[in-house]
Amino acid sequence: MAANPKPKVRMLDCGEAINAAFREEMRRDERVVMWGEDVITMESPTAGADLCTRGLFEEFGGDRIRDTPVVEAAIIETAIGAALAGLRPIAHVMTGGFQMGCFDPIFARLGTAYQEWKHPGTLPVVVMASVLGGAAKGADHALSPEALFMHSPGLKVVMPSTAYDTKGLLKTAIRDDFPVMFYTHREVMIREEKEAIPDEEYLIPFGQADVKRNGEDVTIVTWSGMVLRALAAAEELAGEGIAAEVVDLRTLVPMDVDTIVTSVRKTGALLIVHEAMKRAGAAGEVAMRVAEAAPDVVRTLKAPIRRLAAKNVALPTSLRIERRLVPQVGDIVQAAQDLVQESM
Amino acid sequence: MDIPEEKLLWMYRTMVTTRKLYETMYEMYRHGSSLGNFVAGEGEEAIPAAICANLRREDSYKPNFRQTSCLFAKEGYELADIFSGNLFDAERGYLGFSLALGEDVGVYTGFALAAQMRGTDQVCVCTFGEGTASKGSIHEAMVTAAAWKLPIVFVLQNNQYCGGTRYSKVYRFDDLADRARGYGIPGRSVDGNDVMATYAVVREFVERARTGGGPGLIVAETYRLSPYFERAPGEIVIEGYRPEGELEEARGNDPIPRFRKTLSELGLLTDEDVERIDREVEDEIARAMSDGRQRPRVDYDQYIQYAVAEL
Ligand SMILES: Cc1ncc(C[n+]2csc(CCOP(=O)(O)OP(=O)(O)O)c2C)c(N)n1
Ligand SMILES: [Mg+2]
Repeated sequence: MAANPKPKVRMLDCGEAINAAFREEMRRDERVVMWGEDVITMESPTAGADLCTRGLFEEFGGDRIRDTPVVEAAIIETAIGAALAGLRPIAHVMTGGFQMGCFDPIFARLGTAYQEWKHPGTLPVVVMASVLGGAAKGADHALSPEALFMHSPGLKVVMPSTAYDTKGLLKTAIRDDFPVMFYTHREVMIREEKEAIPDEEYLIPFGQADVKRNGEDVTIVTWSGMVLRALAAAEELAGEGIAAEVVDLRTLVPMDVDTIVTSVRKTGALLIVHEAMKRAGAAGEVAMRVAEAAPDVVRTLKAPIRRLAAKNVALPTSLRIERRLVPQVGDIVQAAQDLVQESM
Repeated sequence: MDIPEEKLLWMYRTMVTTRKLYETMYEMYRHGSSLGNFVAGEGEEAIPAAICANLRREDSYKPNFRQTSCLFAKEGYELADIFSGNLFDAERGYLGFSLALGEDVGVYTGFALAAQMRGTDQVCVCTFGEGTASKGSIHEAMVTAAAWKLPIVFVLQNNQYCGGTRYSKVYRFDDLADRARGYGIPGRSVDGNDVMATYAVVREFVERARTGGGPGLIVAETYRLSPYFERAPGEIVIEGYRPEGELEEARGNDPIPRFRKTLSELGLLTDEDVERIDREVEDEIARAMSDGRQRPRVDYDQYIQYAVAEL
């Protein structure tokens, strides 16, 4: 019988892709260790995720994977100490909102102190959490804290929107010698469609945005769960004759400004969409980076840059209210239509 | 112990109401479109009943996060409030709670501080789980309360589990009340499934706090019969962490049948009373639900008034 060159892929959801990344990296490097609340017991460190850590305890044992008490500050600080002592910890803090209770350990200890005190070596810590937007879980669960941590000098910020990207970026994060904030998103984690994940190892470098859909009329820059909504919006817009290009930034720090500029050069219109609150949100940073990197592009824009983000008030625990505060597919469609209208 | 008869019956009715409230709210959650998370504290009903039986309208009470609906039992609140969606009311001593666990304990300590500064005899009872008890912010609140002898009673509700983690995996001592010694405040453990014993300890600690004797720590031992939480559709909850047979055994120590038995042995409750109370409570809940749902809800237009500047 002829050899059957089946592409070596497996269909995985995001939780399974994370599980595979953990497993591969823990096998590859015994310095990779992890802890967090219910990491072993519930198999689901990133809340909203399915079984991210299933089987890791059985394979790697209690010296390398541990359940912690409810001690977010200690989870981060012990990770810092252990990293300085030669390990490569993955520290789980469940949700972005719970990171407010360990803000100093993340922002200042992990993201600042090693620079300030001229630490001569590496600090390989990955902090993992979920953003639980879209289900009226309120600010403590649903907060999308990227802008807060982008403002800490020593933190990279990663927010993928697919299982494929999550796996490749997570492996890169674990191999990075300096701190990485890694956020999964509830809407990505609970997607029913599985994705084809190659058996063969792949890594996705930081600072490379991915054009998730091509278009000529308007550039939509976004990341994390909002990519799914932007793609749904682009589909609707296509029905109305508007070709939207969706740029998934994937990493906020470092930011791939080139890909945005290339896209905007083509479309002449830029809409930035994010789930976090608008005021001092990351959209402002994206717009300024574009302006600084390519003043010529800004000068020839067909319409002023726009942003669409959550309104400047606390995330509620009511779905009715949340849906009016946080950008929905319809809002993205509307904003893109307005922008294209203005460009004519 | 000298607990007045009507107080005993009030606590029984409160516990029954609490249980039925969980059941009603779970049905609403399952059939509603509200998403969010649903939590309940089945098996832990004796503790809020014993606490509320000792509090006045102007006092403050923070139930454990999975028992917020127990506020109906606090003087000043009623069942319909629970269905109205609006509970936050500093006048009636409820300052909300933090879904980031533990961050509210200092806030309630601030209520006690205000009472002391203004010279009122208000007290605060602030409950949190044994899992939450690990949080550093609680430690800071307790140090502060002890330093200033504030009128607050901390109730650590040990239901054995924090998510899927059994408390004995985390704590290296048997009696969690030993912790109080580290703060220099009185501490006491009590069987939190025994409502009469819990009532007595709460009464002692609340009276001490009310009369200037400062804070204390009560550890109420109980068992979480409810799951960790019900998640929104599509999300997974793992419930396989309990040793086989444990849940069934714990059901045998359910505080409601236990108290029912005690009351009937005391000659205070007949089988007919039990049935009558069940029926009355069901009616009350049904009425409260329709009353509460008719009350005006905070809508979008009101909600956005919280914006401090541009929306
Ligand atoms: C700061 C913070 N960390 C983690 C969580 C996730 N979480 C929600 S409930 C829970 C368990 C709390 O256990 P415990 O305090 O014992 O209360 P119980 O659930 O037993 O009533 C955890 C860890 C949270 N809500 N807040
Ligand atoms: Mg508990």
